Amino acid sequence: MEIDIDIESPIPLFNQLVEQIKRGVTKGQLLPGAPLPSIRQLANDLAVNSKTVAKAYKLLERDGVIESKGYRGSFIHQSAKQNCHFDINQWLIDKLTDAVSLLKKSGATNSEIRNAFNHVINTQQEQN
Amino acid sequence: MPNTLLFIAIFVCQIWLLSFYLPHRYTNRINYLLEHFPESQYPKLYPESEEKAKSVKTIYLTMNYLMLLIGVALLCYFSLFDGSYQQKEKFLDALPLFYGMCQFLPIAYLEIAGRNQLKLMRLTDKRTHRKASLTPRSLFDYVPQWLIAGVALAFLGSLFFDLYINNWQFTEKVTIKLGSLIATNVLFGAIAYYHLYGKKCDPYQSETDRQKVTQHTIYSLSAISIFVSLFFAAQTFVNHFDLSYAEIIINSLYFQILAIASFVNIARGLDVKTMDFSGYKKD
Repeated sequence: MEIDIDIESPIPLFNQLVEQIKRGVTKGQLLPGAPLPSIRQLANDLAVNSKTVAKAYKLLERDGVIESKGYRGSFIHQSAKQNCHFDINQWLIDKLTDAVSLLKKSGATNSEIRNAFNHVINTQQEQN
Repeated sequence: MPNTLLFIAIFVCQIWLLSFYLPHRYTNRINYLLEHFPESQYPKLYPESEEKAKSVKTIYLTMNYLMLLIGVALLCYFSLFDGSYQQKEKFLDALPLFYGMCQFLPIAYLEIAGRNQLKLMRLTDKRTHRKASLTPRSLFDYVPQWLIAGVALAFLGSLFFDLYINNWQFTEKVTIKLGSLIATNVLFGAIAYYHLYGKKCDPYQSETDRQKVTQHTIYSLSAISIFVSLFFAAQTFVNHFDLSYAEIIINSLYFQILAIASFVNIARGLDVKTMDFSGYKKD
């Protein structure tokens, strides 16, 4: 399978990579267990920064589309096809809706929830 | 007298091969490109201009003719006008090696000029789409395992032979040879790694051609590595048994084989008659 990225597209490069690999899995072009090129190889072939490819691989690993096997490299996950259908954005919205409903039931106002949310995000960012 | 004749024969062969025959093979390739893939139809092949390619070819040929003249002059001086081979033995031993290094200067010029052209190609490449295969590459996709095992065996064989000759002592000579062998193999390894995983030098090169070049380069590097190990072992052998006439042959053959190996690599890996030039066409 071939990756084709547009460096002038408004879509971030790592997103283009993630989407194309997911599309490859969904279409059956990338089968479970298939090896993927190393971060360095793909970055050099596409003439992009290796951090871009590393970020794409990290997101794909988080979504269960690929799995890293240490020095042996990255491979397509056995359940990649099912995991590709998993919509992280929808999952986040559902989780946040539940949390916000619970907080509102406890009497918290919108601005209090917003401030607390920002505080938690900023604290997490500082810790990382 | 037989030693002088032997020296003349080997040296003439070296002059002819490195400064006449192979340069003409290289320029034939350039001529073929200029004739079949002109700038008017394949502008991306000439990032500067077709004239620049022609001038590089002229400089390359001139440098080779100069080396040819120097070689003939040296040959005349040391063999025809001055017959005292024994008196100049040490110098004559080193002559093919020193002259051989000089004979590689035109190839180095051609390589630098080629690199500059590729750099310009990358700078002038305005395409916004970039493609890459999702197939991982590994060394053994390009060369068989036995060849790499051969490289390791030749390296170890050369080292142990040197140690054996020197009574298993790490003398200064053995250490220098070991260091040189390691440095050579590390350099070859780095070149092979760059070809496998490095940046694409020619942005318009087709994937098939790139794979072919990588394969031939790694094959050549492996073969040269084996040959260098054997060369070092042979040098130890002739030094140990004081076979100075054989050293001339070895030194000269060393450069001749290196030149042939590099040409074969280019001729096979980048065969202009089978290469895909569609990427260099006008948009």
